[in-house]
Amino acid sequence: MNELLSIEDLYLNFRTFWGMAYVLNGVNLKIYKDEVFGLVGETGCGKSVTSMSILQLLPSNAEISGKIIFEGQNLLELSEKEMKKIRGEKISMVFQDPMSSLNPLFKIKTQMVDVIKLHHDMSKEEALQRAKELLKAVNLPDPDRILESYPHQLSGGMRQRVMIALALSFNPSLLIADEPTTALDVTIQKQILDLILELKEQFHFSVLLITHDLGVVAETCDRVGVMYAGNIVEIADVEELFENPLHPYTQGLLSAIPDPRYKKPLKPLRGNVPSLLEPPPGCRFHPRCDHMMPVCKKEKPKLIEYSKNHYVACHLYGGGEK
Amino acid sequence: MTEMIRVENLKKYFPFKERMFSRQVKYLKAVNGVSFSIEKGETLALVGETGSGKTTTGRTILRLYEPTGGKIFFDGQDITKMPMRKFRKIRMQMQMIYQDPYSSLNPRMNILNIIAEPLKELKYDNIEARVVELLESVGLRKEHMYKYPDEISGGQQQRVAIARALGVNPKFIVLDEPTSALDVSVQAQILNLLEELQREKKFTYLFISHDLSVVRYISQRVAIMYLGKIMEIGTVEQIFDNPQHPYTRLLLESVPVPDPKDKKKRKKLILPGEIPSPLNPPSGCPFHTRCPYVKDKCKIEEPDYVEVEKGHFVKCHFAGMIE
Repeated sequence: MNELLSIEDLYLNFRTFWGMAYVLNGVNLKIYKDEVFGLVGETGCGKSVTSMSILQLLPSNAEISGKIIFEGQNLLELSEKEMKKIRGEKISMVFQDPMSSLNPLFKIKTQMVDVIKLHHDMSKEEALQRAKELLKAVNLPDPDRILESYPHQLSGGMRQRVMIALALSFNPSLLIADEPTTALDVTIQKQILDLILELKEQFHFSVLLITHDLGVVAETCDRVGVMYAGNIVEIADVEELFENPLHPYTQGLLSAIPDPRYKKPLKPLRGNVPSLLEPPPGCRFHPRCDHMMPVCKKEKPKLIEYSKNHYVACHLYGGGEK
Repeated sequence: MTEMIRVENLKKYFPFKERMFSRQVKYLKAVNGVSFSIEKGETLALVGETGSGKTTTGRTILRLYEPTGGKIFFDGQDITKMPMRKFRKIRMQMQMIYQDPYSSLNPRMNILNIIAEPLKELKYDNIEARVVELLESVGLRKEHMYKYPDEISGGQQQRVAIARALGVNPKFIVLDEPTSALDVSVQAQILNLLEELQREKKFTYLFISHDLSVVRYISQRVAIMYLGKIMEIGTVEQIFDNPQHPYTRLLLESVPVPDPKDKKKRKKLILPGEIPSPLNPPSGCPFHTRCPYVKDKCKIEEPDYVEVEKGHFVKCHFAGMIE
């Protein structure tokens, strides 16, 4: 498999009024060509901020270190001008709330043509033609009517399709989808996820799908990374992860979610997600872990390959060695 | 068992004008003829997509909206038109818990005052002792009393909202998406807490949700709503293992299953289109615009309820006939 993106030892801190927030604590992950990689975790685990780091869309109080290698170049070393070419042309993004990513004051037509012209040397007519093709590609009926509409005249599902159409306007090699269906109903969620998978086959891009929903992960992803409080705690193929979860946090998450097929007892994780202003030392999961050992409080476990293509960061599996 | 809540042909219409100065007033039929009953100690889940009228139904039962038509019975008494002075006493036994715990708690009050507020009505000798007791019953500690809502986590805020609702010793609680703002690990804590409280105090729940996995876990009976009407109602096993309405089937098919092996086994069925605007609902069966089995009859005639098995009602012309 060919590597498309590789994140190595990514650390990210935010200077805040209350002190330093240690948001990413050495993230390592790889995304291959033509795969759907799911990044799961709860609120505040750093999954969205990881995607923002890839696109360098971070606020000015951020301090970042590490490497983000995309198609052979380190994105953290690029100038803003070079980054602009990457964004949109090579890496596109779809956000959670399609209403706030579209400008309510302009017609879809204006917004699409503007974006297409920004990156392509095209006349207005050509750009409009391209916009129509894109809307057809995302299965929107009656593209002419959509182009003449304002965002509020479209439903949530239609707006999200417009956002996907925009994201695809330059044949990106990576599509980052940050909770693309969280604001939508389940029936619409299914339509949008199936659309993304369909378009992926058609346009040959990789997908980084950020979500908190393990059901969505099971249905759409090829590989999964589980994040907790700024760390990747486990990476595996999707079937392996659900069948043989190694990290206590992954195990906890899986036994805390209800299953629509039958009623099973839920075992909640105890406690809450820690504050990133004062993260627990050592393994950040240790205050909530049932297998806590003395070493967990002192030493941060490394992400090691426990079995083939199954990585875990936990002292139970020898994460402290090497 | 006896009934706690009975709703007969409940309607709630909201008037609106298409143009600001138009004389013609139209009605948005948010709840359009809903009937069901909930036994004491039972949980009925009300499921539907955005705009299906599930929240409006919950609020109308508590008379947070005055019903346009139909009847509501609480513990055998007709409360539909009961004068407010008399209703106040009964209303105390009915509580509601909302989706977003933060916006249902006053940010300028500490937890003690938030929970004590409804207790003042009940003339407790020692309100503080009662607050501590309530906090402990929802898994919080005495120390939380002097904190403010923004100092505690979302899960803890929802626990405070539950404690406040419990203070007046309710019998019936409407839970409006109580876990959809919470993370999965915390969601499981709250669901377990709600179950435990029900077992201990024999609460009756109306659980409003769009999350079918959660519904399968918490409820005994389920009602599926679409455009202000109940399309199918039955026990949780009847609805999940033997769904008869095409809408219920497609809705269940859309729910993501947390098991990667499952996706290969299933047929790929997608529910096409989106829920039509309730301002302009389709004629005949409200679901006909999206139904894969639609026949001419569905476009003209609204189907009645068919009892396909005991206690399992389906509002479809072809109930029991669809493969």
